[in-house]
Amino acid sequence: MENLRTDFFKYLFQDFNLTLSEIRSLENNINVLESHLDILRNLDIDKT
Amino acid sequence: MKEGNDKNRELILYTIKDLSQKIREKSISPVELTNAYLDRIELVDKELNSFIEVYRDSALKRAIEFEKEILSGNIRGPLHGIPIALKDIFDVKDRITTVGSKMLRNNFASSNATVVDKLETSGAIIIGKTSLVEFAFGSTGLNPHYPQTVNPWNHDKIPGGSSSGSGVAVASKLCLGALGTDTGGSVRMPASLCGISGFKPSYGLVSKSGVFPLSWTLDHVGPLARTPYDCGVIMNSISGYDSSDKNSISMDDFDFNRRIGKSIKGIKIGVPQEYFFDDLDSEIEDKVNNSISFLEDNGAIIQKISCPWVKFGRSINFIISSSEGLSIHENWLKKFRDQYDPQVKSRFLSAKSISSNDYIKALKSKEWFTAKMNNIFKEIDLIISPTIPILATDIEGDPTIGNRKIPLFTGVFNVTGHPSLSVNAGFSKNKLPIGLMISGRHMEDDLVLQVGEVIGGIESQYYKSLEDQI
Repeated sequence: MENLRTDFFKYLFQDFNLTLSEIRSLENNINVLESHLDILRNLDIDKT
Repeated sequence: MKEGNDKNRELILYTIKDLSQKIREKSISPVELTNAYLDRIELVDKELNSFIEVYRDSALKRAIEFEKEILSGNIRGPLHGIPIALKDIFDVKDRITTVGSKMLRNNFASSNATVVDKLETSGAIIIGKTSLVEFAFGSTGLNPHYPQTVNPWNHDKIPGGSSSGSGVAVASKLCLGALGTDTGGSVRMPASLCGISGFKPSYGLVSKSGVFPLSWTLDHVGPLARTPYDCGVIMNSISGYDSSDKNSISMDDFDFNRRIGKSIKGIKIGVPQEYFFDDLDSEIEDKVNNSISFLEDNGAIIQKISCPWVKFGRSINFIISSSEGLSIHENWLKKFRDQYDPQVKSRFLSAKSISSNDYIKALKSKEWFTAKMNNIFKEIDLIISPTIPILATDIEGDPTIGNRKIPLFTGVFNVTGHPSLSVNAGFSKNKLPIGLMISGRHMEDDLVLQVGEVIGGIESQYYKSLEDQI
């Protein structure tokens, strides 16, 4: 998982020309987004 | 007869409701009204930075034309001769639409957005374009590309966004009303933090043609004004079916203000027992509870409702708006990568970690969530809640706090498409505005505005006592 995440950032770093501080900001935003993804992935709309 | 500045001061204190009567009676002319607003913009907007562009010449030209029409007895309606501003996301023919960005500073529009055509047909005077968060993707109102728009009640505080300039311009009396867009609360959040009314209508009632998109599933167009009644006047102008918007629905010959002034006795208002009151600033909680008591005193039936599932609304909104926003911007993020606000760029790019399965799950969850909300509306007529859980934060503070907390409540009703209004419910001890949100059934926008207008009167005397400060 960590390797995948590193590759993901490497891709964004190269493809979108991000600076290191932008990468840090992106990491924070991805953490926020993943907390929302976790909530949705755990939602069972057939049972809830 | 009052002269010069005294007369201008009097003119800018009127609401649209007051002025439409006075213009019809020919006791106030659109030219003197427009001049009063243009003078005030020149005087105070250097500090507030709510306008990106002021249409001084064209506004005065239109005011002269409309004055002639009115003097000849041709009255178009209550917006005839009224200065209105537009968030700089709406196209106006031969004018620039920046969408708050650096890269679109020479983006001339080839035609009007449908809502601009409708406002002009109603006789509104487009006075200029207001500031916003870049590409409308943010809640605080921060934008590094332009002089920072500030909260009119405390210039060190954020105005809220993304329709920041529209909120500040209306609250500071630089126009009588303004249009904004609302994907997760971008009309209601600045309305709440600036102490005015902001209305997100039922999904589909207002055309989005000629409006730069953020999320085609969640975007709404709505008015910001001093009162819910004035929001209704603007809604009467801008709503209606438009074949150029595939989400447009018909609601012809509907008067959004038809219920205002009638008794609210017997209207069932639900107070959610979960989520909206869980982690709330105590001053906001007090003001919201005061307003609920006031409505009960006026005959409304207050009912506690349980909706634990409502906590999923913000996440559904976040995933859909982030996915769709990235799909709109992905090519530009590569082509113009150094021209984006770094914060906005980062928020868009974070959506690269959303899979197609996640997006589809969010869309399915939206349907589930809307059905749940519709079931709640079988028991009650309206839902009341705070608009925002916190008071306005510092411009120089950590923007992630504002972006995380400010849209927690508003985005719920973008997911469901229900009409939702933010109205001022009072002020904190430090004189920062507190907003209250009223949301209702689909196509019962008139009921939301009716109850909102009752709330809007509670603190009006206090509000008036503060007006001289802004």
